[in-house]
Amino acid sequence: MGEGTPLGEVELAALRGGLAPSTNTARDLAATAQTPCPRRRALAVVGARTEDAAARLPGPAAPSGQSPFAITVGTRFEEILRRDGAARLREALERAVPVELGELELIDLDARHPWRPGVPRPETAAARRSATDALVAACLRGEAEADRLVLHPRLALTVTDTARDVEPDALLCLRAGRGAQPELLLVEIKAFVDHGHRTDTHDLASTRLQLAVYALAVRQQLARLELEPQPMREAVVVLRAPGSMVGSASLEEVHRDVSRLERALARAPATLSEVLATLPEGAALDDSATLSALPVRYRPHYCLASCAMALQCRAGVEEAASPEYYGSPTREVFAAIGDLRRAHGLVTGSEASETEEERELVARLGVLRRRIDDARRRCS
Amino acid sequence: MFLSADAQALLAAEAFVEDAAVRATGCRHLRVDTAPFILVPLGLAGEDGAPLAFGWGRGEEMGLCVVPEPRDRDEVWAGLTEMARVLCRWIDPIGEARIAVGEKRKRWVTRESAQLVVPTGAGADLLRKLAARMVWAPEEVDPVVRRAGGWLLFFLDRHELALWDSALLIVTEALAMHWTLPLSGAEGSHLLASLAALERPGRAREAAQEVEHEPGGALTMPDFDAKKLEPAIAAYGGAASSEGRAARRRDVEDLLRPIVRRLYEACVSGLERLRAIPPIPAVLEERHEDEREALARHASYLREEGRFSKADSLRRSVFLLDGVEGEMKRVRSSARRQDPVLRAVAMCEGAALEGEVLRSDWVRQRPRIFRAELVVRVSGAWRASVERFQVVWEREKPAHVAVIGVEADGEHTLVHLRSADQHKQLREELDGLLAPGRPIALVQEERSFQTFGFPPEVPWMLRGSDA
Ligand code: SF4
Repeated sequence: MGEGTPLGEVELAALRGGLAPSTNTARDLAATAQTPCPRRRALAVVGARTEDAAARLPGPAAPSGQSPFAITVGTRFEEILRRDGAARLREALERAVPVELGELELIDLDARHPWRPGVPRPETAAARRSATDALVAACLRGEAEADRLVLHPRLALTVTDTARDVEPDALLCLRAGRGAQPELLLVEIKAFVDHGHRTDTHDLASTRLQLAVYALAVRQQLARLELEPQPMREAVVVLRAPGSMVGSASLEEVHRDVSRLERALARAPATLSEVLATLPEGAALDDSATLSALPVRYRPHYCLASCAMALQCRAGVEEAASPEYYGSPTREVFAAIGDLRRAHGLVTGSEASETEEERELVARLGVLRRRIDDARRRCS
Repeated sequence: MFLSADAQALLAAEAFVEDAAVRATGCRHLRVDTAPFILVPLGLAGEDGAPLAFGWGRGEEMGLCVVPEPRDRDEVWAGLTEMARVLCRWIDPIGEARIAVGEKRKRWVTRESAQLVVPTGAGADLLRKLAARMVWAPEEVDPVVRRAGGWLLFFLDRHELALWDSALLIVTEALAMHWTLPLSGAEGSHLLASLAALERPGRAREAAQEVEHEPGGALTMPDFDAKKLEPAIAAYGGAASSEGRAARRRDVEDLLRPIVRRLYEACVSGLERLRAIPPIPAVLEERHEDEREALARHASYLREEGRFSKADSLRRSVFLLDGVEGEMKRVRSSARRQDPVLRAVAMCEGAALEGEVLRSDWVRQRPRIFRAELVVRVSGAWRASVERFQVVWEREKPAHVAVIGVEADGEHTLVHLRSADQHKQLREELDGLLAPGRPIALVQEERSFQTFGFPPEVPWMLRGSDA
């Protein structure tokens, strides 16, 4: 399959089985660069909602969902930026974009090609994709009559044997960007607050990875349209100014995130065929046994904050007394033993070492254990 | 930062097997005042830096202020003003009552120390965002808000820069510094979970998991927001009369009080647990005075209506780093000098040594100047990771020694040391301390960032040759 036609939405839906599709492909793919976990990646590759997967796994799932305040603020902020011909978005962009922005022609694909109930989704998706292709091609070929701000452009992306679409918040198509050359700048709107150098680094890093997904899609688009490749080294992130609904935009470097994402996508399961190879014939991911059989890599900081299956995976590593329960550095120190009870027994001398690795561990840590115990006795 | 990766892993395995919190240090390394000012901030989810409620107090009693609509600027300033008044009522008099100390009475310090207690790192982050907003409050806002913002920045900046600082005590951090919990660091940032793990040896993990779905940081939970808080805030916003608004405001207060109260009580009980650990006395005294001096300086700055910049200048950054370097030097070496557990960990890294003096000779260097040459026997294997050490003893003046050789001796290691030049007068005193058969302990001499590493976020241009 790795060699053949990439799987489209229909085949992915079959693999998901009854699992609800995820609503944000770019965020899913960004997750593949944030965790080495094969189960999480498999779900990202087929575009399934992790909350739904968690509900099918044995054991209590983490309470899901965002606070309604967080949801409202996100929607409201985007709506305010887009209101009145995207006046507030333009204002924010003017402060961040490294070239003088002239009159911007606003092209809102939600208005030109809206998702209508009666019209099949693939049809609208195709219309949005070709509109985006045409706008990008016109800009880079020097045929555009104005600089353009395209809202919700749609880009096709083929990764890990699957063909999917992604939709950035906006794309700036500049006829004379830096070096007086045509330039494309991706724009992502996030409702979290810009606190300058104290802005949440974790949120910013996730946003950059999401932009990296879009940058990959633009690269593929340019190759498909046989257009001059663009460096896509930077992109614009629009955050909220503290205590207001005003956009605060800045230029963020994303080229390192693009490389990081490419490396992550190249790791197993890199392709859908690799995911499928781990599943029984005809299996879908909505089956609890199939899901449970996919290996996991529990990393407490990532998992507890970002994955709906965290409590079930934690119960698994806790049950197995795996050093992964704690994360770094315990995981690395006891990597060779893989069992906290055994490791403790060995270093305290209540269990005898049997393998070379265990003997090495005891030689290294046994003396530290004794010294700590001695010191504790002196303190008590 | 004092426990090596190996030591952290060993204690983690022990905590897991015991299913209980285990002590990670031999002593307490932080000051815990008798009645510190506890401040519990709660923010609105999705509105990073929007205050929802504050709880405060210095004992069992807790005061509460609620911002019933945190998305309304006027309501936010009103809430911040209320909190600012209480904070300044506590800290202003402490900052103003000063005394001169030191040999020439040239150091002005506050008469009392001040300690602000915050439940979690998330709470401290929220306060920092609020403080940054408060010091830049518009003119029409009561000036007490700017002053309180300035005070909050004093505590927060100091904590960020001065290692193991006691002026601001973040309860989860302080607990994690003194105990290894059978929880990952991610779970340990939840105050209720940390405390539950401490309180229930033998079933600590289960106890922590029972409370982890309650608010334990600086935010309420999504489910609570959806089912209770959002309708209550909407009802407040929609109330037509002032009586109606007052009643709806009380509804929001009633919803939030138990959450804030629970965090507040958790702070009180965390402090109690910390107090029960014997502190390292000398260090606490010394740092305590530095803190009081900084407090007095900051009070003068606020009195003169000093402004706060939005980012530190390069010049100020260099000054700050210089201060941190001195603080780190002192904290690191005194922590190891006075805490046998930390010293035991350092010993396995070659950064400390404990043993018995086997031989000691005095070698004359010049008239009246001598050097001691010692052989110390250490149980088990040992190797030095640095050359220069300080002798741990009661004398105020430290003695420096250098390792000049290490040799294995069966089950033991013999370490050859040479002291720095000593005047003849000191020789007799030292003679007794270094006599054969006496126990001896040494700790690595801490010098600068170059030896103990820069704080993680220092930009490369300020790192000199370490970069
Ligand atoms: S919680 Fe489980 S499934 Fe999710 S990323 Fe972590 S280990 Fe993987």
